[in-house]
Amino acid sequence: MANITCSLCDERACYLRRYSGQRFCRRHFIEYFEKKVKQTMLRYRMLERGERIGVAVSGGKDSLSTLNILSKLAEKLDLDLHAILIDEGIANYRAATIKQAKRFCEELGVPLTTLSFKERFGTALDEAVKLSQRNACTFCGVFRRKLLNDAARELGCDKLATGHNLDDEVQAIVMNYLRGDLERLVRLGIDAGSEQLVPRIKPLMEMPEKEVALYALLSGIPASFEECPYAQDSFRTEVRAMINRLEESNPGIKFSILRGYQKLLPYLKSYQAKALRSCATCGAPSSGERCKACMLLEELTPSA
Amino acid sequence: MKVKVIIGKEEREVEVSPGATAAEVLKALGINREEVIIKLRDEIITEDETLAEGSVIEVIRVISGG
Repeated sequence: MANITCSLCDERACYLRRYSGQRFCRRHFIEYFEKKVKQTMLRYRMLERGERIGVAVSGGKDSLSTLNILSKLAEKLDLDLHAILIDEGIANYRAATIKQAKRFCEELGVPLTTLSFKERFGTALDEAVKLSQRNACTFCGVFRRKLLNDAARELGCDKLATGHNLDDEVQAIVMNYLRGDLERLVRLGIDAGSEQLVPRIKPLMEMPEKEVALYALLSGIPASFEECPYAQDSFRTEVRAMINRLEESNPGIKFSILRGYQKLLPYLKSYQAKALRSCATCGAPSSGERCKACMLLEELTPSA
Repeated sequence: MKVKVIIGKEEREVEVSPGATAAEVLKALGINREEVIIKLRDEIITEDETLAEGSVIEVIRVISGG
C-alpha cells in the first residue's frame, strides 16, 4: 500500500487541503502555514515596525501558535512581545493550560503577565456560575475582554493579538446573522475606535481550526487540546457543528462565509454603534451608561 | 475488514469494506473530518489514505471552543 505523498516533494503527506486539492508533508505544511499567516498580517496591516504587542495566551493551540509565529517575526520587525494570560478560575481545566503557557513563554523568552477574575473582580468564574442563572460564556467573554484590554493598556501595548482562527470568525458571523444582531455583526469587522481600547489583531483569522491544530502538533508546540468544561453550554457549539457539516460536503465554505461578510460590511455601516462613552462606574469605554462588566458584577454582589 | 480506532481513552472496532480510507472509517463512526486529525502508527496521515485489515488509527479532536 503506497503512502500518499506531498504535492511539493516525495515525503508522505500529513494534510490534504480539501479546498485547493493540495497535499503537504510536515515541512511544507509548516512553511505554507507560516507564510499564509504572514500574508494575512500584511494584507490587513496588522503590524508596524517597533510596536509593543500584547499576545493573549491561554495555553491552547490557537494562542500558542499565534505567539510562536509572532516571536519568529519579532527580531525582524523589532517587535516587543508581552504575553497576557487570564485565569478565569475554572477548576480541573485552567491550571494545566496555565502551566503549558508559562513553559512556552519561558522557552521563547517572552515575558508573561497573569491576571485573574478572582483578584480583579473578587469572583472566580466557577463561583459566578453558581451565583447566577447566566451562562458561563457570558461572564467569561465580558470579563476576559475587559481584563485583556486592561492588561494591554497597563503594559503600554500598541496592539493586542488574539488567537482567533477562521472557524471562530465564521462562527461569530453566523451566530450574529442567526440572532439578527447587526450591531454586533458590524462590530466584528470594524474597530470601535476608542482611545481606551487597545486595537486588536487576529493573525490566524484566515487559518481553519484544523490547520492551526496541525501546525501546533507538527511544530512541537506544547498546546492543550482540552475543551473548556463550559463549552457545551453554548449556542456556539451548535453553530460550529452546523458549519463543519457544511464544510465537510462543500470544502471552502468557511472562506466563502468570511469573504461574503467582508463584501457586505460596507453596506452595514448604518448599524455601526454610536461613539462609545465612559462607564459611570469604572470609566471604561461603554455603549451604554454603564459597561457590561460592571452590570454583571453588580448581579454577583449580594444586595446590602 | 476490521479497523481499530482510538479516540481519547476509548477504543472501538469498526467493520469497513476492504481498501477503505480513513475518511470512510470516520464516516462510519459519525465523526466530522473537519474536527479531527488522524494518526497511523504515530504518524499523522491524510484522511484519503487507505487502511489495511487490522490497522490501528488514533483520532485527535482539534476543537477547543468555549
